[in-house]
Amino acid sequence: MQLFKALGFRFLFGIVSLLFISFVTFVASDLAPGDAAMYNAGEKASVERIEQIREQMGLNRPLLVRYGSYISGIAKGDWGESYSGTHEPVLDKLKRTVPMTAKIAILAITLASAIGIFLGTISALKEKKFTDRSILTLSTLGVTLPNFVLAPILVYIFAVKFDMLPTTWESDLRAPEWMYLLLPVVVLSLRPTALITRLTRASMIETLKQEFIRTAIAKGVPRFRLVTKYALRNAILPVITSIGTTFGFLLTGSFVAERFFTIPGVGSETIEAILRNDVPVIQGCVLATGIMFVVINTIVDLLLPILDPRIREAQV
Amino acid sequence: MKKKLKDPLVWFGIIFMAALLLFAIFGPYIPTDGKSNPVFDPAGDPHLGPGAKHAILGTDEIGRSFLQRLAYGARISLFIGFTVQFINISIGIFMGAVSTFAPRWIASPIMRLTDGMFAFPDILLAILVIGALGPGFIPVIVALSISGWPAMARLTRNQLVSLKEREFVVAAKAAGASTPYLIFKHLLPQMSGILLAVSMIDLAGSILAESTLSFLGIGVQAPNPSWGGMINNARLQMNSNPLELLWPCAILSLAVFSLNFIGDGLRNYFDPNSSNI
Repeated sequence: MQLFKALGFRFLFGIVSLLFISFVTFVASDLAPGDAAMYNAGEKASVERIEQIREQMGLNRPLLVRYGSYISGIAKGDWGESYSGTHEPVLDKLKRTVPMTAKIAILAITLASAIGIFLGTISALKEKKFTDRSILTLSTLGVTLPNFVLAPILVYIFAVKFDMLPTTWESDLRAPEWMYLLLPVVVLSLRPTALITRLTRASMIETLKQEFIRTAIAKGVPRFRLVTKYALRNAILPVITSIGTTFGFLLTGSFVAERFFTIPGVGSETIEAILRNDVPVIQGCVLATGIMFVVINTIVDLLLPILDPRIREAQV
Repeated sequence: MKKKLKDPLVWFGIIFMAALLLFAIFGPYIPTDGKSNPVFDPAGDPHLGPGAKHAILGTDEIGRSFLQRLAYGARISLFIGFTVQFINISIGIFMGAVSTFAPRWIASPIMRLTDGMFAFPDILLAILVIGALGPGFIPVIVALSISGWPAMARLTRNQLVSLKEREFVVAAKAAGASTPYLIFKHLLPQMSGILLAVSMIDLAGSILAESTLSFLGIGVQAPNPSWGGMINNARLQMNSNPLELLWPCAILSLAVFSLNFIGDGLRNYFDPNSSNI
């Protein structure tokens, strides 16, 4: 019962964050110069004509009323239409681009968690030895190295110098898809890997000092089992919490990686929309990215009380 | 027990940043470069390698000197970085102080707003602001300030809450000090060290964010030089002129590393007990 209460609370928090993000997005788009009426009327329309269209479209209603109808539109699947080109519905654009971004982001976070937890554990076990220092230095570099610096270096080595991988996405792929995704995923996972490594290391060092570990050593628990089953299971909880925040960095990175490797994802779509001042598309893309962020964070939040009974009890 | 600032990385950072500042100020006047701009010989290849006569680091595909562009880029990056940091610290301290000392009905909404801002990944908020204002120099500053202040406000609040129960503060209060007097004379000086450390790391963040936006093509607009824009331009020339990538990548990475080294060093110095994750 306690578990359900904790889960319900976290789920509610996710919904509130979503509403907040959608409201901020809506207000920001509202402040942008030009509105749908001006675009629909065309460039030569008179002021009276624009005002008339604005009336018809209900754009002169109060902000909150329009926000309400925007939200109910979104719930019904009406995300607005692009101002430019064929006036493609925003939802169609998102259906095309979101899965690509989600795929890359999920691959990157999986890679980052696997490598990060492994390196962090090794580092903690060898605390203050050479291995630990090397991993720590590398992870410091990993946290600070901009990903649009890493990307050209990797591309130069693997695509230009050795010609092993394709550099940019093409509309018809000439190689298996994973070859196109390999470099972007590696670039994207660098910073999360470094963060997760450092966090796992810190958390693992704390855990290894605890009394139950000493008891387990005294009892003669084999070393491998001690590390994986006793220590890591405890040390990993803060790491899981951090994966939610790390996903934020990943989204930042995905704008860069998609732009650099010309991958048709939400990031590229957003940038293109900004460059042609296509407000409904910007709005939709930012909202979609925000939704991804909130959903991942909510999933992480929901996982924690399931994994850790102490949180379950504290959270009532 | 006061530790000395003897970590060599901190000194590397300080020296590099001082050099970068000088480069930003005097770089455009370095006599080897920019005698004529563009410097290339109209008959020859505009791409000059490093060590060329009027461009010591070489030129890009339309004959512009890298050294000059890096220097102007440094001006832009540092100017945006410092401005954003100044705004963030001002708003952050103000919001942090108000949310600590103001009555509940003012403090509560401010804290909820700060929490709410954290629900947004920084870059998304920045992109949203630029989406509304259009790309450019000023929008970058506005965007980075809007997304940056909540972290500073939270830090200030956390520090203030723990400091205000300390004896010297209680004593000053008992002696009749007003709240603004307390904040400016007793509390802020106490936390200035940690604020300085964090703002160094945040400065690295602002410079990186500015470069990211310029790299994406929605920050500082061409033909104004910016490191991010130079990297974006250079990636298109990667096959023919890989060196073009090297300069902006190196200077940007070194600037970001240096500021982080300085920030970490200062934090260890002022707050030795802080966990260093």
